[in-house]
Amino acid sequence: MGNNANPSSQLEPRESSVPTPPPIVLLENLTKRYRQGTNWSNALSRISLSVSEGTIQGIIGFSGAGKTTLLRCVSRLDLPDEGRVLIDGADLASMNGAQLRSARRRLGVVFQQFHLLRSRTVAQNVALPLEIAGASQEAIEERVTELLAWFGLETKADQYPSQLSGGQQQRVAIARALATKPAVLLSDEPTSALDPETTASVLELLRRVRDELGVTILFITHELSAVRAICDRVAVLDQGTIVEEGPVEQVLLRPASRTTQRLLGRNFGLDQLAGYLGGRAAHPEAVFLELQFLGASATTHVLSTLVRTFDVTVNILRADIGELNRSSYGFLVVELGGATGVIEQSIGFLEAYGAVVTQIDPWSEAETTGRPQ
Amino acid sequence: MKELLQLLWAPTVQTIAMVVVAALISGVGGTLLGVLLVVTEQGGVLPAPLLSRFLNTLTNVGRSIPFIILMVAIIPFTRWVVGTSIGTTAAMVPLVVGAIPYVGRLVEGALREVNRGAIEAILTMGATPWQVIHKGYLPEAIPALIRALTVVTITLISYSAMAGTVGGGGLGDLAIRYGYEGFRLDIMVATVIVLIVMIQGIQFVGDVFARHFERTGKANSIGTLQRQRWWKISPRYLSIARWGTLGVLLIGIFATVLHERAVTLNKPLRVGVSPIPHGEILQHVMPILEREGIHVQIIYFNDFIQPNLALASGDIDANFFQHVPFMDRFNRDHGTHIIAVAKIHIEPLGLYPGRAKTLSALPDGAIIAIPNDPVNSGRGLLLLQTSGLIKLRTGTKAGTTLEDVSENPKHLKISELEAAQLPRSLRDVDAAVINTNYALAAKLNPLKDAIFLENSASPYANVLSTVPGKENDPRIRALIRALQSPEARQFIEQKYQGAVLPAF
Repeated sequence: MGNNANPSSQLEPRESSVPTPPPIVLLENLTKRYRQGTNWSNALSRISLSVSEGTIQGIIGFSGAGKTTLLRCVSRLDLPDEGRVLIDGADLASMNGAQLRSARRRLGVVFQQFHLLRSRTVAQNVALPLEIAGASQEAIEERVTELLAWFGLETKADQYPSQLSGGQQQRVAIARALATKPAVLLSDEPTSALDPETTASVLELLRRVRDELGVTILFITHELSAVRAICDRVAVLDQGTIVEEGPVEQVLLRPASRTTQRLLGRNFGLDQLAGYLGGRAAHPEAVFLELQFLGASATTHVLSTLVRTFDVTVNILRADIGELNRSSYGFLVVELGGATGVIEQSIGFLEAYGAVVTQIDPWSEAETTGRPQ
Repeated sequence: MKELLQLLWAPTVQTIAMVVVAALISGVGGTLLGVLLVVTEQGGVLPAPLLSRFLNTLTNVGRSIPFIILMVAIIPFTRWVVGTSIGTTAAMVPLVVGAIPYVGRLVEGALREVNRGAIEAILTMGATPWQVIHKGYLPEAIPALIRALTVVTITLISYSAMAGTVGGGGLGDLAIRYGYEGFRLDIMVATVIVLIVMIQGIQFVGDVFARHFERTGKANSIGTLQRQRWWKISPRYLSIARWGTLGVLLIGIFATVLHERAVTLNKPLRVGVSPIPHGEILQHVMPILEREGIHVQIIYFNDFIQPNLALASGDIDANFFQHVPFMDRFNRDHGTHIIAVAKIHIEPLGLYPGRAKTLSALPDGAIIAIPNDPVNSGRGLLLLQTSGLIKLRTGTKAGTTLEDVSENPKHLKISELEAAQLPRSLRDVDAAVINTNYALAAKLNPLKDAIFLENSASPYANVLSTVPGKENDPRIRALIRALQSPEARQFIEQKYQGAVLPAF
């Protein structure tokens, strides 16, 4: 990546260049209804999603979008009203009893609040899924030792969860979820209860789980930063339906749906821009632009070149640099002033440099995200 | 002091036996109930709506029956389980039955406190409902369960105080009989101290274990965590818990065995009594019976129904607490065939002077107050007839009412008042018929102050009762002889100073 000569090629979907493995998670027309008084409303409407092996698939949405319901249906804590949940070829939605119990061992689940057993030590918590699966004591001992070593938890083996920090507890929870060597790890907001530093280390751990253990991860979150950090693909959930799904670079840089735009907007604080700008009328000829750069272009001096080349004024309102799927990623919101023709030329110049340019209206951002200042 | 310790020993053993056995059995039964209440509900791990509703109703019914009523109501069940309806062992049955719904609710509450998410996590591992219960709910709820068991054990101690009703003995019974009814403050205080020590001890042990099993960093500072085979539940505290439980169990069994041995060693003559004065009179003549080689086991009752039911069912051989009119009505109401074999004493009803100071000084149209409850009203009218003031068309039969007065030469105005109010009414009436206990409370001396007193001819004399077939049992005959002996007479006259009179 980071080919300056043809910057836009980075934004092509990755799957076009990689052969597609068969899906290990396949959701088909998943529907879940809830009753509110006499009315039934859909918490999930015909959700279909295919995840290939070894992928970290993000599922993002505002709260109330149906993320938790989706997780509960996939893990079969709730029974979907319609549709299929195929994990490694087995349809959890149609199973019951012993069949379901055995199929569940192919699916590990990690929760926002860890949900470790307070009465068990770290080692005993990690051993629990193996005990439940009926493994022999020797096998349990061997597997637990292996997992604790892999997760760097050897020294914590005999401690109880209440003696651990949040990040350590989540490590234990992930180790526990992987005890029976599941093909798929379902993680529900695993970092939302953690501080930013710990979040980064847990995300890094999840990436290692995929890279080194080959586990497919369904990663449910409301944090865009987490999606940017580790997801290969992302599905955007709104009001119980998937409004957009694709490689993370594509979805985040060129959001097709309003929901995604709102998610990004809130993430970058666009909804608050109007407040910062106050009552001041915009320069009559000014436009507000959101610029996103991926790869090496994120680190070049695009704006100074722009100002030297064109007769425009640039007012930087927001700027951020970060990581998107392991590439550097730059983000800017600028107010561009100048003659109409010059502004158009400027936008063309920026796009030629590999920027994704979106014209925005701070005042309507504030309205649409529902957070007027 | 030595007497005090002797008195305390047996009731302490009985209380420990009752509480430990009841706590263990109801602990197991209640845990089962609590688990079922949680898992069978809608959305539980083993949903069974009908069973859930049934168990909930059963639990609520069980919890709404006052313990004292439950104890009496399940007597047939008690007899079926332990073979008798009286004594310490018999008291354990209602304790267990009464405590199970209570434990069930406490356990239910403890399990509901378990993090629902942790339970769901176990479900996602593919656990069976049984695995969810014994690997999730129960171990996670251990601190709360220990706290619940502590509460239950302490509650059982207070329940066991009511065991006196079925002759179960125990510390509560001792406090009631000697302390409260016998005005022995020292015994009452000693009993309460023993109870406080017991309850403090239970609470302390419960707290220590609960805190330990909470598995917080703090609790572990009690001792260092030992490195051991970690997939096996527990550091050394579990072994303390095991030995502790075993120890408590052994103490309970030991106490029970000790008690049962004392009861069954020599099949004694079992006599049910009210503690005062009946129990005291019987206690006093025990040496006479011992000399004759007759073992009498005194069983104390704090109510008037149980001693007759126990007699009718054969749990006791005789009782001594009632007068014949009461016995007759009981026989009629309950279809029993209890018979009176000997009059022992009377707590005499007396006519006490108001404005008139002697019987003959009562003027024409004098006002005489009598008790207003059916039994004592009739008894008061009979007393007036015996004194020659009036005549009753019913003669000397019990159950007389004011309507039955056939001759009233002095035109007495007889008014019925609440029995306890009669001493206070003396200033406003010419004379009043007062029960001995209320007369004593008003500082009236029956022997000195009454202008007319019931005598041993009264049908209200307290009798020794038994059932047909036992009246000629030599042990019963010996008992009658002892209760009617000169020693008994002397004891009654000296001890009660006229409040109780010999009726033989």
